[in-house]
Amino acid sequence: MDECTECKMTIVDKKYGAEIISTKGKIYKFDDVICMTDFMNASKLAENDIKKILVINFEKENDFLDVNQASFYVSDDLHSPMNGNAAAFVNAQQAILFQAGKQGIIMDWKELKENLK
Amino acid sequence: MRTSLTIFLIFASNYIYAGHIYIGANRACKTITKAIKDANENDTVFIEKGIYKEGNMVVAKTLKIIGLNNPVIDGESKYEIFTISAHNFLVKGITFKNSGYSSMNDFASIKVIDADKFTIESNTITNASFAIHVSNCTSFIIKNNKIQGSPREEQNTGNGIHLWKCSKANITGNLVSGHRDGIYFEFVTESEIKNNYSTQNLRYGLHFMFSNNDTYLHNTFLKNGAGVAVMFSHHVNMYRNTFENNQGASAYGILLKEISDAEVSQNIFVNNTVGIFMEGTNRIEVKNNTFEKNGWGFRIQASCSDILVIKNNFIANTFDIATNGSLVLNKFENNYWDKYEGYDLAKDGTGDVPFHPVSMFAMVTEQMPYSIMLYRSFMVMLLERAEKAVPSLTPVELKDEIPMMKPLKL
Repeated sequence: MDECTECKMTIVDKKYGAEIISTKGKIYKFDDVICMTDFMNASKLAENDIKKILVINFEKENDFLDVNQASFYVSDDLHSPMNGNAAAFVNAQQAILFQAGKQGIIMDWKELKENLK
Repeated sequence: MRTSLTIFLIFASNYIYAGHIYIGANRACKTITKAIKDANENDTVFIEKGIYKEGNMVVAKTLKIIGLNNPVIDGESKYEIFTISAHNFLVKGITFKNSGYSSMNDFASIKVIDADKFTIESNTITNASFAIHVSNCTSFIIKNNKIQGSPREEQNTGNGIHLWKCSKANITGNLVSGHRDGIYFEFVTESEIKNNYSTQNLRYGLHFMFSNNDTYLHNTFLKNGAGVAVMFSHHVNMYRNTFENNQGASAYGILLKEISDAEVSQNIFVNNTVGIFMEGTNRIEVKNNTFEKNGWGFRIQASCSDILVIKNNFIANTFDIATNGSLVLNKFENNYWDKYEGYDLAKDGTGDVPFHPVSMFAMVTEQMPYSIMLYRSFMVMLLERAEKAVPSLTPVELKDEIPMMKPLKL
């Protein structure tokens, strides 16, 4: 089983997971988007060394999405491993469908990054 | 005449204030759902032997629900079984099996929301996603339950005993296995976890997150995926627990991350990959513990400060202590180290020269885990000797000034 780079927890609830691929090809795995933003905010990896950032599709196991294309549903009723409480979807439409009847809001990666600061 | 009338009145009042309802195949009341609906506040509901399949049951009254001769309530892998929101209730002696799974709602065999002063006792819960799920509750007891999950997939397995935003909980004598985390605490304060046995859970035997002023003592954590994790909390005390056979690349006896003001004493760490792993941790006293036959007894990251390691026994560990930096803000004193080769000319039971518990190779593997394959090779042994004479890699300041000559009696 994999361990989250930032919080050291074993990753079990994969649907909240995320990862950074560095230009050297090293993969940093996270159990929650908030661990990834904490990791980035602490400048543990220079911005130039980041090749790609991926998040896991909340609706489909083992399906990685480019973070810039993904839409996030953000709400406290999600209970993600580290309380980042953001679920990633393929696009805004899927996120809106999921949001129907719930309390949360929808954000893109830029907004989410600000929100988790 | 008068006495018989009084007796009659006593019985009558008992009947009114605390009625008994029996549920069973030969009783007037055949279903639990009907009994719960018909019951008055403070009634006792007895469930007789049998198998009950009634979907989800919502309880919003103060009731004692007691199983007689082990009745079984089956969730048919579709339903949450009990959803309870009441004061002062009791659930005892019932077997719950096959409660359902939902990715959004955390289905549980027994879910309790916004309640207080209740007891969940001596139940058997098998094949559940979450077994007991408690949120927003105070002053309650969960004791002597037997919880056995059968993890289908890690993804849809919940925790055995899951507490969220609770206080004054007492978790005692439960046996938990086969869940994600055996016992899970998030935002739980002033609580005690005692005499539980948590084994073969997928992730942690016990998992603390953002939970302060809690104590766990005399529990056994055996063969869990990653041991026990205590994270982002303060004032958590850990006494007399046993951490055994928690093995794997990211497995620890205890993982302490961002913890402050805690006491870890009289615990036993045997056969773990790492006994204790500490990161970002402050003001912890580690005292009178036994570290035996672990890969690493203690991994203490340079981000920790004011850690006091005194009077512990370190026996037959591959590495006693490992660290990843040269800055030492922690104190080691009066421990017994079986690797100590010093002498005691003063005959006062303590060694006359300090012991440096971090070996050169422990520093190397910290940087480069793969190098472990060279361990116990001739070259490494030579380098180890050279390092002892002229320390260059190991932190010189990390030492036990007064090591014990004989193991401490703990």
